[in-house]
Amino acid sequence: MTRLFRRLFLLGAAAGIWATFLAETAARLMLRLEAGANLAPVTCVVSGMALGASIAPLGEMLNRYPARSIKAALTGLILGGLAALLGSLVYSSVYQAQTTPDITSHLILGGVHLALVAMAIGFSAGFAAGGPSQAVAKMAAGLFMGVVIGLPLLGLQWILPQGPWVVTAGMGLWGGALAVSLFWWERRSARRWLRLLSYPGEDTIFPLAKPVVTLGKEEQNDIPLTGFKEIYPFHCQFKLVDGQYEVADEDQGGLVMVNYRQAQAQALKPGDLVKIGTALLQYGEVQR
Amino acid sequence: MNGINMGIIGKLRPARHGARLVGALLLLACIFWAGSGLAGWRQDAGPAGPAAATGSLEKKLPAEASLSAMVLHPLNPAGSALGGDAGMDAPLFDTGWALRGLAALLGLAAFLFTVSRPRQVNRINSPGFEIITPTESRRFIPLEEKFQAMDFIARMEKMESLRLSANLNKVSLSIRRYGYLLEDKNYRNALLVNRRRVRRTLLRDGDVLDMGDLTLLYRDKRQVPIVRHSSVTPPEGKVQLKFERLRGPVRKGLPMLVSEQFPNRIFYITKNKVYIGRSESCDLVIKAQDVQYNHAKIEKIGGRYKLHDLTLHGDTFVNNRRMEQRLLREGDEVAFENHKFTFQIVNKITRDMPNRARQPGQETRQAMGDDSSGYDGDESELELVEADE
Repeated sequence: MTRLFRRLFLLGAAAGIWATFLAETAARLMLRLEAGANLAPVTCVVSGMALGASIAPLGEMLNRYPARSIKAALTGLILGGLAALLGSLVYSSVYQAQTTPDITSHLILGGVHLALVAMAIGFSAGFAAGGPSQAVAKMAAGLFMGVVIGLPLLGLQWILPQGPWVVTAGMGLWGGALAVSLFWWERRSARRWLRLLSYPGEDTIFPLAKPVVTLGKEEQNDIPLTGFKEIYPFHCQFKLVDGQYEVADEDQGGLVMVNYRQAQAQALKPGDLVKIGTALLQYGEVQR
Repeated sequence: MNGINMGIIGKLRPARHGARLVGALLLLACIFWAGSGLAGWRQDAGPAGPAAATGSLEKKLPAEASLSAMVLHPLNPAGSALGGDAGMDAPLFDTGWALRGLAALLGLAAFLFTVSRPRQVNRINSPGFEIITPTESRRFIPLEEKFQAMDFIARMEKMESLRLSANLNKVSLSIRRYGYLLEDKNYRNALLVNRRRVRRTLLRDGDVLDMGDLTLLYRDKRQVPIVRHSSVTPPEGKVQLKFERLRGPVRKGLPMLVSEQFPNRIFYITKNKVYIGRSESCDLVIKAQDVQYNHAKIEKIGGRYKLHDLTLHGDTFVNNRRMEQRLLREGDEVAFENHKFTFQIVNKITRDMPNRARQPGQETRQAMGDDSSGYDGDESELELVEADE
């Protein structure tokens, strides 16, 4: 496991733990105010909001993109709460009809709930990082991963003795695994990418998914290279021409070196080194 | 698979990971044990707790009361997130809640700590090569003193599928005072450093080596960063350039050093051997603290000009690369510590300016494309040029 994934897992686990804690505190307060109250919507929304606001911006936070992190956190806060509310309503409406829960309905309904929350988190993370297209891609990843990670945990929860500590630990595991898998999925699904080889930054892979990918020092770019020198705020673009990405810097005037030679409208091949300012990137694509 | 390879990998993956895993498992076990002890729950007692607590209040809907706690979280199937102590009678906050709060606080602290730490991927301090071939997984190979040549790469694990260039044992690797020197002892070897064919080079942090299918990235955290004397950080303190003016006309083919800081001060190399440094006895005097007394010399050898570094630490750079000696080419960027010069050759005089006999200085300036004012065109025998800070 690389260092990035280790950090992602720890941070996701922390998010899961404090989300459960907040939900529990909310439930206790609710019960204090009104015994026998329906706790489900409030606690679920609290935990969903906490999970969304802390797991969605993880990738941007680790890469030091504050504006993107805030965007992801806000989107995650709203969407996570909504998704959790929806999940809890489905859960409680079905259980209203049947008095004793059985494992099948527990797995299905719990799985739906977790998948909804994971979708919301994935959507928020992708939306902040790369706009609508990546948001949809990451939402699909969240749907898949939420179910894949959630179902074994739900089954385990059914077998284990129940208690608040088990819930806390389970949510910690789920959050950590979700945070890791969202990024793992992003790498798996990228067909073309630029990998950062220079020191500043995590082991960062920027997927090239759009027809025009912008690069620069500002965070609005698809590939923001903050922390490097000699890079313009909007340095250059990579354009998709005939199935290959080309360096296009004529508009912005930023210097781009491909394989240590100045590039003008040059198609990138796998393994090419792209030097921009003090940042060194390597182009790669899926080999077929 | 052989001994060397195992040694390298063994260094890469220290035994700490196993200990960490065991520690994490122990911690998890402790959490479960403490949780079971503190909350005092059992599998059979779990679902009954909230139902019993709230059932007395709402006798009509006991199922819904238990349901409400059950739906606290989908990962909590039987609804005992509050243990058995939910309801009006139970204390609002108990020990278990406080402990979970502590865990959440610890998590928050870890979160903030991780996010606030300076970002650096590679914490390995020893210099080494990182394999960055797109088809291979990325891994780091620390350099050891016993490696005399680059052939240790070929003997490594998982290298059988890659076509490596032959005669890697002829590419020697030797330790110098300021890093590793890579030298090609076999002239037919195709050694590419930064995608250019090189015969001998001092490896710098961030250099990329190509040997056949394999691409390596040289990492050395001990060294100065990739762009050391960058234009972003101009030389500090008061800097002066002093040199004797050219004797005779500027002719085609005459080399010159153009200072980046003072673009209108052009130093023509008219002698066969030119010394550069802080000492007044040098031909090009750079009055700055970080320049050595005798920093470098440029020698005319067979019609070409060769730059020799005379410092102890190799603080002479050509095109951002540390050099011991090197034949200069047109357009090379020469730097003595932070003081940058461009090595150029006068070549457009005769074509562009027919009346060069009268105003050679101006012609040179125009040939360079330099339109800065302040040059008087005076052809005095000795001109002391002072820096205007």
